[in-house]
Amino acid sequence: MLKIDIVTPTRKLVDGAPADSVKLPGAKGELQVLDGHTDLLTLLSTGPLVFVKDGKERKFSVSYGFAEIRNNKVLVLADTVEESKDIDKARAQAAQKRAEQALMGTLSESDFKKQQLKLERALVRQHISL
Amino acid sequence: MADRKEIRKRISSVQNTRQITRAMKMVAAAKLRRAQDAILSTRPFAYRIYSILLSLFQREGIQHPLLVSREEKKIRLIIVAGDRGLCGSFNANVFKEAQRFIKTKEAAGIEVSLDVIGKKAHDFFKKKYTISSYHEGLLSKVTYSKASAIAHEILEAYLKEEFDAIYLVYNEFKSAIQQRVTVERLIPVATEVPEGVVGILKVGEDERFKNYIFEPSKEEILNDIVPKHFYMQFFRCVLESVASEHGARMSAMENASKNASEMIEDLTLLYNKARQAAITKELMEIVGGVEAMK
Repeated sequence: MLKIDIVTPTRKLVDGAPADSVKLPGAKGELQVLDGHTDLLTLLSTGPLVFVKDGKERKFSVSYGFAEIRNNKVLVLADTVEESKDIDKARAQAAQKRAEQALMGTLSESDFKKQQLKLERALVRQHISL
Repeated sequence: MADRKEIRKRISSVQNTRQITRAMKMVAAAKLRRAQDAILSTRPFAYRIYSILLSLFQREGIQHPLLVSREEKKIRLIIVAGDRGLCGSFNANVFKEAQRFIKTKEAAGIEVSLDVIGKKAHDFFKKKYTISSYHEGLLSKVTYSKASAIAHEILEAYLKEEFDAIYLVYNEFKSAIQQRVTVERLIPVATEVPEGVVGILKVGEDERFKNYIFEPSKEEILNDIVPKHFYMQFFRCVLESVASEHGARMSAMENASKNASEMIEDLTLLYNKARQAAITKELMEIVGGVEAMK
């Protein structure tokens, strides 16, 4: 059985919860972790994190982070993590609109990237709050 | 003999002051507790990041520009103080230490530029030094996103080689009644294992990363972790400074309340003496009057 920890700079969101499988948005695409996964250290891209225990799912949106898998322990360290039940869908939609609008205009390269990431996060948040 | 009405007025004014200082003490105590919790809750994240950073650097020998020392010609000093006063020598201690630090660095021919956090520090240093940037509004509510944005800005300037090291001076939080002014070098990052954190690095460290897969690569992971470590350090220092400020204010207000109580006692004694003197005087007059009528 897997054990999962999710930690942000200001709190421990999940502390050693048991899980049968964990899906992560890895740097090289989505990856699924099952019992006996090899040791791994990976950066995470913005995306959904889902872990399943006895058929029950818990979904999170993560961005700017990385994950370490070692001895059946999954440790996720990310700047922002939100659980699906805490997501305000209307806010995510508003954020999406704002980012889309900003992307229409002319932007410097770094601002463009920033807005792109914002858009991505807003989309992920809406997606998992369904 | 002092005027009784005058003394009564003073007593009530000191009583009012004591009420205020007592209230401020309570507020500071409540805020202190919250600030302490905030410091504690950053630890899991900070420790893990640092342990992975050290492992990658020491066991794997991966290099990163923020881990390598450059010769110090120009340095940046971040001064963290408070927005408000009435907290004893909290601000003054930081100013003193910062000035001492600047003086020794300048004596060695090193140019020092300043980043300032806290209104009091800004007011103090703008008169004597040029301030590169003043970060307003962080202290009213310290969040990781605000702190990391500021830290990011400073780091960008470092990477452009505007300066060769980043130091930070702040009130380290020892306990509710004890603060210690400390100067820390944040960049380049210290890579020798500090004494206090040996414990977290011990567990199976020799085995660590033996058969690991790194995605996308060790270098890129380190690239991501080192700045994050800096942001966390900066965040922690600001949080500690905030907790210290509440602690300092609590003791200062405690002292002020005690002094007010003492003053009230003295004034009350004075008032009673004045009252007694007046009564005695009146009696003497009456007795004198009776004598005269005989």
